[in-house]
Amino acid sequence: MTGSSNDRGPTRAAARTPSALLGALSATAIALAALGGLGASSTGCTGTIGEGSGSTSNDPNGPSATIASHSRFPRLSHRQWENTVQDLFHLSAPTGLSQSFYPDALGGKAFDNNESQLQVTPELWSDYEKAAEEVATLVTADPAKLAKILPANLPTDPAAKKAAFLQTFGARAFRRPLTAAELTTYGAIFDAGPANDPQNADPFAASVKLAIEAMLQSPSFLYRGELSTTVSADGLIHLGPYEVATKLSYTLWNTMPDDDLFAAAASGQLSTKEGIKARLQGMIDDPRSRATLVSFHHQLYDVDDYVHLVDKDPTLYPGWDKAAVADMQKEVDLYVGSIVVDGGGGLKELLTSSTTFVNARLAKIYGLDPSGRTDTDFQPASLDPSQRPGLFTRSGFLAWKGTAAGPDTIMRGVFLNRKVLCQALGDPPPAAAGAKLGSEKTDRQRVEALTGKGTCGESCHGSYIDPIGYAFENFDAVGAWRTQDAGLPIDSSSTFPFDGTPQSFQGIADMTTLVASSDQANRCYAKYWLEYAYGRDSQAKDQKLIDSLTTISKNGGSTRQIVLELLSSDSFLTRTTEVLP
Amino acid sequence: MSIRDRLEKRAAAKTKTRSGLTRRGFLAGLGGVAVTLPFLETFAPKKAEAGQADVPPFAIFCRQGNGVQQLTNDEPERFWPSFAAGPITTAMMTADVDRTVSELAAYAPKLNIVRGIKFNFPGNGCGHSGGGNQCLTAAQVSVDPSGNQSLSMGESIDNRIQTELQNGTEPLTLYVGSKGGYLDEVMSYRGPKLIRAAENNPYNVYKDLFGLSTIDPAALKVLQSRRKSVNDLVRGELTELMSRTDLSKADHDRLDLHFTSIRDLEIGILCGLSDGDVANLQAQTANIDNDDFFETICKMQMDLITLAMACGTTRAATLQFGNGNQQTQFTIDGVKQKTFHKISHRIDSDGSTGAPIPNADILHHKIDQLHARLFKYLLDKLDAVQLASGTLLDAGVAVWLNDLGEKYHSYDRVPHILAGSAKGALKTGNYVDFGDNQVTNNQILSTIGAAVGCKNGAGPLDNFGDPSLPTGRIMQIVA
Repeated sequence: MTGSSNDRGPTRAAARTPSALLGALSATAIALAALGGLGASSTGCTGTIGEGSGSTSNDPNGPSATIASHSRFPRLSHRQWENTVQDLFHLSAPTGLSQSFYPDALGGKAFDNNESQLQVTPELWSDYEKAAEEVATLVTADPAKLAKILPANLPTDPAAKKAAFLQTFGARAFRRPLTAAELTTYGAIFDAGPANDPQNADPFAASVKLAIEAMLQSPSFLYRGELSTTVSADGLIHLGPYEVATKLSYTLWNTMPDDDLFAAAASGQLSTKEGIKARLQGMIDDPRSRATLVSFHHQLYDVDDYVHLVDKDPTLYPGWDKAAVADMQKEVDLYVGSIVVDGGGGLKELLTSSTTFVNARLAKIYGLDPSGRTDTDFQPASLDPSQRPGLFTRSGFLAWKGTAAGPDTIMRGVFLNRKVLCQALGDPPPAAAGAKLGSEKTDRQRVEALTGKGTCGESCHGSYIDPIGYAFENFDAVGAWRTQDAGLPIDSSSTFPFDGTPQSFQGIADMTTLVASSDQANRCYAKYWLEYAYGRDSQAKDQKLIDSLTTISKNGGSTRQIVLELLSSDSFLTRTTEVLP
Repeated sequence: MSIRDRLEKRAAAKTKTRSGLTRRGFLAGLGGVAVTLPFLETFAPKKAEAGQADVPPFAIFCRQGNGVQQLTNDEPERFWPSFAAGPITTAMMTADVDRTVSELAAYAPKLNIVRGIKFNFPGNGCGHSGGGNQCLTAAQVSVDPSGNQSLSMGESIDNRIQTELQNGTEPLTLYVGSKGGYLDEVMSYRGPKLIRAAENNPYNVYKDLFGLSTIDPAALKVLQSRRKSVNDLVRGELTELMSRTDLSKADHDRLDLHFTSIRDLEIGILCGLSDGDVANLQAQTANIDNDDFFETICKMQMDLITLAMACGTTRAATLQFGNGNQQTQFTIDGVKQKTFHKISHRIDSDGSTGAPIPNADILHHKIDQLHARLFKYLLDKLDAVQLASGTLLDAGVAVWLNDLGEKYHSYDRVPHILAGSAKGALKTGNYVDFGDNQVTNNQILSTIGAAVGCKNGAGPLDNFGDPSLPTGRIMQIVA
């Protein structure tokens, strides 16, 4: 499981009547042809961010030179399926059915929405089938639930009633108006409903039930299809308005568009970049984007993996309570939300802010007075900025990257190199496997003796891994601050080649300031944001966009700015005419 | 290719449910013998028909990670028998008390202990991933992606067995323990770079395999009809999408996989468990990530494998113990230990350097023994199912293998312990040792595949895996 909470905003979209959508769809001429519907690394310890296997452009100087390829059929993630079903049927709570979906093998990808890993296998198809049947039964067996998906003023004439349902519900299920051919196809399965449900006393409900089962298994529901084919004057294929609405909604809200967004698509507001930008600002300000912004950091920084942290030595940490792991995970989500959503901050603030949220258990680790606090309530707290700058000085990361008895200097260093600095690190040579730390007095001395300057580990450990790890020497196995190790003063100073130029620092605050201002860390953040927002790996053609995002981030731009830039880019809103092999 | 051609081409995919056999096939094979399946204390088949007088040969692969504690330059031998290669007996193994494989002494007449199997190809940046990728594929490791994301460049033997011998159904792909770590499932591949996800929740496994067991026949007929209507509609939509000429190969392949995944419901064997047993499975859902329940969940998965094989649901199953580099924290001698991965490298770190873990070699040995006992549990369950001729264990072959040799990420002397003769296709009661003349693992995979019925043309399968590898089977264990 990945991601925080349920990756959706804390407030629900207001349930609107389907007739509003039907009105919006019929009020504007829909260009069905444009919809294209069914009826119609490097080696060693160096590397470059954004490396990939991008396709070659037809015209190296044309507009497609910076438009990387992407799937036109990204499948809904399990979380998106769950959110979508809840919204499609205006349910008060998620069905929970996706929890038993066959898991996606993420193959080491950082995010659960990576298009390359989202496939419909036999096992998952079977789960989709059963879930569609359960949802259809749930909705049609309850007149109140059924009424929520029917258009207002439902005609009484059977043919008109059928058409009204299919057009209205179908447009929301497929996130675009149905084509004439689809209306015929689904009309036939609608008609087959009663014969396939002989126990059902209500033939209309039986028809709706079978139609729902079919729609929820349709590729038009399960994939966010991009079927537009019209080539614009700039040589690119611009996504149709409903495709844009769908892409924006899933990227920011992790669910289907709401009625307002459908109406914007129908009205043509999403047919121009200006219109899209105007809509985007409102969408990212909407509370529903919060979970998405938080989940990016939760997934990238492996917060779910905190559950795997090793139990701490009870003789050294007699108060250690593994229940604190869940607290630590919650603290991260609250912290990230406060920085990037409420505070309008970006990477710099994430890496340097000393604010946090604690309950009684965490207060003890941070040396705060636990009196008046409980284990269930999290309250804002201010920590010592010289000791606790940013996300990676919070107890969760430090305890996760701690051994039973002390800091895991090397793994702390490896993690920041890889996930914050995008510093390519080779894997240790086979001969190094199982190398044991010696009996030197302090943690740092032991690491230095085995992997530091003058050892065979110097190139990676001595230059890249250990220096970052040493900056965390003041944090013990559970993330509490310490000033001595084995009776000797802590030495958390070192030198790291940020952006290729060695720079010295005196401790954690100094080091995080250098990280936050480095091109390397901001470029890394930008690259991962591109991969998350676009649901794919970064490619060589993304380099120019990553350059631009890096500049925004380095200049103090917010995470929201980065996201807005990504979602208003041609890389997001268009595709090239290339047909890839 | 026309839409009609596509539909006809894929007609073979429109076949069976996961249960795999038709009612007619089931009745023909029953032979009037009802079978009682010996499950966990409360487990019992819901229906007397939940078993057959005979089942086709099958293969089960249980994968332990992190290598075993065996002879290295600085540690003594504690895994392989101390006696010389040759015929083995329960008495010989029982006397060999300190060796891990002796945990299986009771099954000596049904075992093949094979020492000297190696993986041929180097990993690509992650020894665990490279080993996991090769253990059932005998294929090369991907250049891109690399490291812990590296993938196999070929299909796995369970996939080959299932698609060749029971096409239209999926191999059972199971897992014990939590996911979301450095490396998750590594075993089963549909083809190059197409890893199959593994299910770690026994309740979900049960629902997938036997979820229809409570439906009465009339309702099942209705369900069959409505599903057929929906499936035909969706097949038509997918076919139309795939007929577009402007799709990338990746998108076409994605839609094609979806198309071939659609199965119509055939009313076949309805194996199932009692409501109480199902509730017991469901109750463990909360514990699938909890190392304290590793053995409990593992045994439930083994129960379900046994049920699936007894019902003829599948011909191949995999069970992965823990995640890719098995970071399970086992309780040994009453003490919850550091993660197995750390113990296997003898240091208190997941990296290459760390503080030494005292007696880590002994702990590793005891974890090996624990896995041997879990494997024995599976053998107990299989061997307790009586068929018309022999037991369920005799009808198939269960394999306990590793994806590394020992603590150094070595691909040499990777343990392969086989139990069962696959209906006499394999000679059993043997300890085979290739010594320094190791054979590549494609040959043992071919041997197993051939034993359960896979072919190379008209002859037995003997060329599984990467084509650059020497072909052949391990004739020392072929009957």
